[in-house]
Amino acid sequence: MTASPMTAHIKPVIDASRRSVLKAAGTALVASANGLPALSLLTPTDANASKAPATGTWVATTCQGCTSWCPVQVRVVDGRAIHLRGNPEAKGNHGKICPRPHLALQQVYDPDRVRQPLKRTNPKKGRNEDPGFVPISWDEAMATIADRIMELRRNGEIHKYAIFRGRYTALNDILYDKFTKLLGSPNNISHSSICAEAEKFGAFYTEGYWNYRDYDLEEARYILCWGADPLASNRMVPHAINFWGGVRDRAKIAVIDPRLSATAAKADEWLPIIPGEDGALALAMAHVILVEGAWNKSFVGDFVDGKNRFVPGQEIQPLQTLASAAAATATNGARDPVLVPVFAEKHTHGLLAWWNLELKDRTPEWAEPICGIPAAQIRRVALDFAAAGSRAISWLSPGACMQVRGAYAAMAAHALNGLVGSVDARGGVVTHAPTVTRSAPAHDAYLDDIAKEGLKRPKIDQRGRLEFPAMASGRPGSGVLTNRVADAMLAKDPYDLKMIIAYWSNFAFSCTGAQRWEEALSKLPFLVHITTNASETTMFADIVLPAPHQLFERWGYVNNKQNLHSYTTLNVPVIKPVADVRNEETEVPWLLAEKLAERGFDLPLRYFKEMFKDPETGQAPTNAQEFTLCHLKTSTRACWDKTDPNWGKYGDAIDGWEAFVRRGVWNSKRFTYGQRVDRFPTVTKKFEFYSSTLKKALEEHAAKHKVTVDEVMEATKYVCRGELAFVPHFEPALRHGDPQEFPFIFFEHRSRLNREGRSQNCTWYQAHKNCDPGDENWDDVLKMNPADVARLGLRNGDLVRVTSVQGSIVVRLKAWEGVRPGTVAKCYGQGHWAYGRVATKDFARRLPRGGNNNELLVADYERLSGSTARHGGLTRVRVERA
Amino acid sequence: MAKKRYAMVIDLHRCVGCAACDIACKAENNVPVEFHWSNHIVETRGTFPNTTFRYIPTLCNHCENAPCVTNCPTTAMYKAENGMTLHDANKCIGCRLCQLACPYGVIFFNKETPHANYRDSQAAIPGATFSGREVAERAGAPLPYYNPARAATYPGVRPRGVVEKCTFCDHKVAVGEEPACVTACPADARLFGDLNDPESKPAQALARHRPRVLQRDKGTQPHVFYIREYGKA
Amino acid sequence: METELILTLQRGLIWDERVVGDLFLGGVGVGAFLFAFLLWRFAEERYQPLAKVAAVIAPVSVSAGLGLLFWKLGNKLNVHQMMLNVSPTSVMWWGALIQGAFVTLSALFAFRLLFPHVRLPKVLSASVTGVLGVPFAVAVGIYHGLLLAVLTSHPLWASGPMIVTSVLLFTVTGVAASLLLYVVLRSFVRFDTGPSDTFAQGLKPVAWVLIAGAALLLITLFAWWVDLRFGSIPARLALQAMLAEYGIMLAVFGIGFGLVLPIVLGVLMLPRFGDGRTPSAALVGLACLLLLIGGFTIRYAAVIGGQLPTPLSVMATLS
Repeated sequence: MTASPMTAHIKPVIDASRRSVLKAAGTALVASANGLPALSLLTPTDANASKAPATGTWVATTCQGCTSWCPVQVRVVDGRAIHLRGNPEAKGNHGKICPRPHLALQQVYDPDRVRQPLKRTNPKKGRNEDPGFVPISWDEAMATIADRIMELRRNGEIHKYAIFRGRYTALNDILYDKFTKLLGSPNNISHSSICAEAEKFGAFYTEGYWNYRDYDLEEARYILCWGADPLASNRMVPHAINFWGGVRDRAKIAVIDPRLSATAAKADEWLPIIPGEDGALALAMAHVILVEGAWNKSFVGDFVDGKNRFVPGQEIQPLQTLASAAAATATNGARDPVLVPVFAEKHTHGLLAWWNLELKDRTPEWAEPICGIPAAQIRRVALDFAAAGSRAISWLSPGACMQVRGAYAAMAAHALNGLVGSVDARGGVVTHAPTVTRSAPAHDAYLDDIAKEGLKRPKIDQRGRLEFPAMASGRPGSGVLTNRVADAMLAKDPYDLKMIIAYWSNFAFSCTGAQRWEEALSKLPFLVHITTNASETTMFADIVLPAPHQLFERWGYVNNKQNLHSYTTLNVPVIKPVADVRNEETEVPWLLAEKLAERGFDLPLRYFKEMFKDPETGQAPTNAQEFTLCHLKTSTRACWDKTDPNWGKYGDAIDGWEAFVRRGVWNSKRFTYGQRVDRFPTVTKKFEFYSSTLKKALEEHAAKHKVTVDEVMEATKYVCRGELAFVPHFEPALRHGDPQEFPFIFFEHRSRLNREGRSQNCTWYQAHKNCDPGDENWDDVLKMNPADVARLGLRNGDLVRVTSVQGSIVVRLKAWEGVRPGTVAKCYGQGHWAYGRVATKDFARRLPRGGNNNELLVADYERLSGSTARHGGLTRVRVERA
Repeated sequence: MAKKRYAMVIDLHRCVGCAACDIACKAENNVPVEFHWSNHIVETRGTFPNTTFRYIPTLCNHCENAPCVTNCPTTAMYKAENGMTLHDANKCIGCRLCQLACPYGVIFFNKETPHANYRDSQAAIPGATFSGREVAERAGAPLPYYNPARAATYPGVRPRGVVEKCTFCDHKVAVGEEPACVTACPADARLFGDLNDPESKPAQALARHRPRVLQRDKGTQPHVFYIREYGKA
Repeated sequence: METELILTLQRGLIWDERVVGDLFLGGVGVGAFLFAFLLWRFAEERYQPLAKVAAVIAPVSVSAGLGLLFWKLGNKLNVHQMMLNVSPTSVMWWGALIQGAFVTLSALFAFRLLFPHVRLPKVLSASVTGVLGVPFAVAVGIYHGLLLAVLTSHPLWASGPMIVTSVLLFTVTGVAASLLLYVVLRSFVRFDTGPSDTFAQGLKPVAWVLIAGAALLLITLFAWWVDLRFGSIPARLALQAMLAEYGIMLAVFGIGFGLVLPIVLGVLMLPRFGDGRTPSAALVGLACLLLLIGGFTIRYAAVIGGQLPTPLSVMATLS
């Protein structure tokens, strides 16, 4: 490769400020900090005084306020970020952004941000202990952490080190993956399973796709949302918002949600389901589609004689003697009546088995009392959905499956796409076009004996145990059990943890059973928290490191998909960081590696120096910032480097690094339909109604523990036995709390303003909260049906105590017709007792604004996927006047 | 050149009620947090399960017959040539009569100097977290995300003692851009332009759909029109 | 369940008690001026002290009211903008002009009454300033009603009875304030106009004016109520809201103690005016005080109660 003219600029001087590094990288993104014009903010400015106001520059970067991960642009004036907009070059969100990126302005300029590294001085830990934080230098912080790591390695306890990942960029493979392994710890714990793993379960065990799906909104004619609220959350927000008007013109929309969600408000049908009973509803819909002969025959196939044998309650013999001409053809003209398959299945597998095992009795009338949806509506929605054929989308979201028994609901809801043939189809449910990024190089040569020893240890989260199959991508014990770690730590089973580095995560707030995390973290000897704000988890930290804001203050990239395009989008430091921050995913491990090398353990640093080089200059990194850019440029090389074999092959052909940074996004080519059909990575290569893939995985897990699949079902709290374990089937919702003592089903939902749990300290969040249907500004209301409010003798606006078997919070009551009687709903995100002075009612006294749902929700799991069950009304509550 | 008559059409069918307009407006116009130049009415109607929800975005209606202008004792509130209802803060005496006269509640009065949180020297955890003042100093502006372009036609931040309101982003329109709420709308639900130009987006939309306005009976003749329905009719 | 509507508006009163004070004192002032002018022009010599008291009340009271209003202005330094800019559609702009003229004229008038021997140009005589002052006084009184009545966004204000009320209020409160102050002053100061117990002898017409004014106010308030109660939906809702918040206050202090009781007292005392008898000064004072309380209460309920937020069902009307 020839050295580009940029070469000379890539080498920043060691003591250069971060700004000059950025400038030196040739991007010229940030206007000079010198000579900030005097802003006469508070005096009226006449036209002359303000001639030629600084209009600034639009700089590309990425918003990670939710999982849509949109390419965005920031308007930078005098080194300040002042506006956000969608990146017009992006095909995923096509230049649109939802409300979240705007809120990020108040995050990056949050008065309550951590200003520099901090050290705890009070050894006692607890919610009401003052940590006694004192500022320290980065050098001292890194040295302290390195000492701790060395101590663990010396004592053969390096497996007791863990990294907790929350929001991340693709550069996380350094801190989260490589660095952890090089130290010798098996414990890189991501937040994934508190998010949506059960959703992936549905798609994987039917069509072999362990991922979120994309949806062809432009061509769809029916959209059936299972708890999905795409106008507010769920992975393609601005795209969905922008297309929704058109979708409403072209398609029918039905939303299944116990709450009148943002999307339900703009749908044709609202199905306010009893939380946790999505499976029953999906099965009844499948039943109707079959009985009415409304399935997609060109995708699923048909009875060989065209006669529909799906009669409620009747089993179908898969092999029958047939007399018709069609049957004669099917039997190659044999004259003697022989047994032939009665149903010629095309691109799917196991329809009759599903019918016989489960569907035949799942009538709408059966489902009505279970799921609370009138049979007539079930029938209508099912038939309208099926009438749209391959252009009908069954859109699964965490709400319908992040439930204790949600795995089969996930499969059932996704299987509807199989029935109508919308899988991988125009107007249907699709996967993703390929991207061209790559991750960090192999590290194996840099593992020493201590590391190898440590990596042999089981992971802390108890994955793979009989009761925790956590079968990500079909491999038992491969999925993370994020929320289980607190219990494992407390029980010291399989062992205790001695040191955790947690970044952009706040498990003491964001995990169900949050109280367990407070206890576990109180007992943890050494916690490093890398965070923008002093969050709940921070209050237990021994060392606090200020994190850069992902949108404005660091390098990185992520891959995602929307609108049938995959994309790679860069996180770019568009402003001078407000606090004294280091890139947590690359610079922090580099700095730690330097400290470790000083202490005689140089393998991580050698790995960084020897295995990474700048693709333009071929030079190895000499410092943390160079390392970051080396890794970023190498990972994304095929997006921008003409010499890369994949350049321009799968999407945009961007000429040069500088151009890529300026553009900010690489778009894949548009997704091509139909390439997966009959090549699904399932056991049968078909879309599986009877999941041979699940059978294989479950049997593997059972064999590992020398038990039967039935025993696995029992251990994982499922009630089914036998073959039912391999088909989508009904499982009654599991709820914690006695219905007499806790009469209401509690369920939570997301906010269109939630930048996950992090935007509640923004005044703009609080001042616009009522854009979430039913919610109130500056509050965190418990929404209850007015009939229930009256029945309890309560009044709208009362302060109420909400109590579950696990805990209790006090919030304001909101009488609202958008929730089902017998249920109460509250948005996730508020109830911070730390984080900042807006998020809390009284920061110093740890008084929350509202209440954290996770102090009510019991820590339980969808064990087959390892997910934390946070939906489906898994916790009952009592509501009384406070 | 024909006189302009700027107007906005809000397509409720496309609007999804996300409030991006409200927040983008605050960033564009340096609006204090509790003022809502761009605002919304939310409505929940009916009894479960026949419940409907709708969101009506609101802003200054830039009325043809604007009571705020009629009643202003100093002509601080005035109708511009292009149909916009604008406010000259230099003439405003802060009598708030415009607020009383406006039936839409879109005018706000600065009781205090705005953006106090960035003048505050207190830190949540002294020594560990910033104060608002420090963040402002580091950013280099009294309001860190202050938009200087706003100051071209209106005080960048309106001082204590005067009212303020939506100006249809006259400073952006003056340089050929659309108002911030229009560009920020991810649903493309807002159409802005000159009604005297039959080719303009709002003129076209009004030709196609039956326009509605808020409180028509007040006789204010708003220049913000609504078309189609938010949800199920 | 009824429809739920949410709209975030700026919290708090737009026009507070200071504006109530301005309107009240302004009314007292113009009423007192007219009373003073009538006494000066038509009454016997022994009523001239009363005329002087009333004449002094006029500019002082109106100025005090304007002071309150000025105190209320957000941007006081810009108040000259009212003079620099012509805003003929604004009632308030006219009000500023009229009140300016009135304060000047009434101050001159009072000065002439108090210091008749000071030499001043003829055009500044009591006759000229008084005669000129009368239309301005009436205009100011009407202005006080019109200021609110033109705000059609507030159904409580935008009505004919609003203006009538304003006119009646200034009549009643101006006279009452003058009498009250006179009665109070008399207990401290000796006026050189004969025995103290005969001051009210010739004031029967004044008593009639007060009784009739109060009674007319009652009727106007009733008309106002009818107007709103059977008016448009917004009017009905605004009335409902005002009565819910200030109904009791209005009934007890505005109507009961403020109008009915003084009427009763007045009627009872009427025979004592003239015929050589004289009503109790204390009772007269009390009746006047009650009328002032009543007048203030009505202003208060109208100004503050009239600002209760418009029902959102009205604000959300799309048509």
